Amino acid sequence: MQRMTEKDKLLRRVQIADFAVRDSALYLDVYPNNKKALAYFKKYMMLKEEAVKEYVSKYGPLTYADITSENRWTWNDAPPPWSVEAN
Amino acid sequence: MWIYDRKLQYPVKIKNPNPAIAKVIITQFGGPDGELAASQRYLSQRYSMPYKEVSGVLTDIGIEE
Repeated sequence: MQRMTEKDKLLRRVQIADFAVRDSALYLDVYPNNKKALAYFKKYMMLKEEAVKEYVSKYGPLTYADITSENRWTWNDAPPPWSVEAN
Repeated sequence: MWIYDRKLQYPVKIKNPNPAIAKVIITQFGGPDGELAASQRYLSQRYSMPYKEVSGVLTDIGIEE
C-alpha cells in the first residue's frame, strides 16, 4: 500500500470532520433540541474549519470561498476529486 | 442552492478493477430504485412536505444521495 502523502493526510482530516458534521446535521434535523448532538456538531464543525484552513493554505481551494488569487482562476488547477490522481 | 465541496466524501483507491462489481455498483446508483432516482424524489418532494423537520431531512438526505 502506498504511503500517505501530507496532502492525503490533510485531506483525510477534512473528509473525516466533514462526514461527522453532515451526519450529526441529519440527526439534528430530527432531534433539534438534543444538546449532546449540538455539542458534537459544533466540535466537528470547528475541527473541519481548522482542517480546511490547513489543507487549502497548501493545496488549493475546496470551495469558491477558498479562492484567494486575484491573478488567475485557480478552481480547476487540481485534478478533479473523482480522478485517479486525486486519490 | 448548492456549494460544491471539491473533495470526495470518502477516498477511493481501486487496486484491482472489477467490471462485474462496477456493474452492480453503477446499477445500484443509477438503475431502478437507485440512489440517483431517490435523490431527485427527495429534492422534489420536500417542497410539498408540511413539516419543516421532515423537509429538512429530505433536503439533507437528498443532498447526501
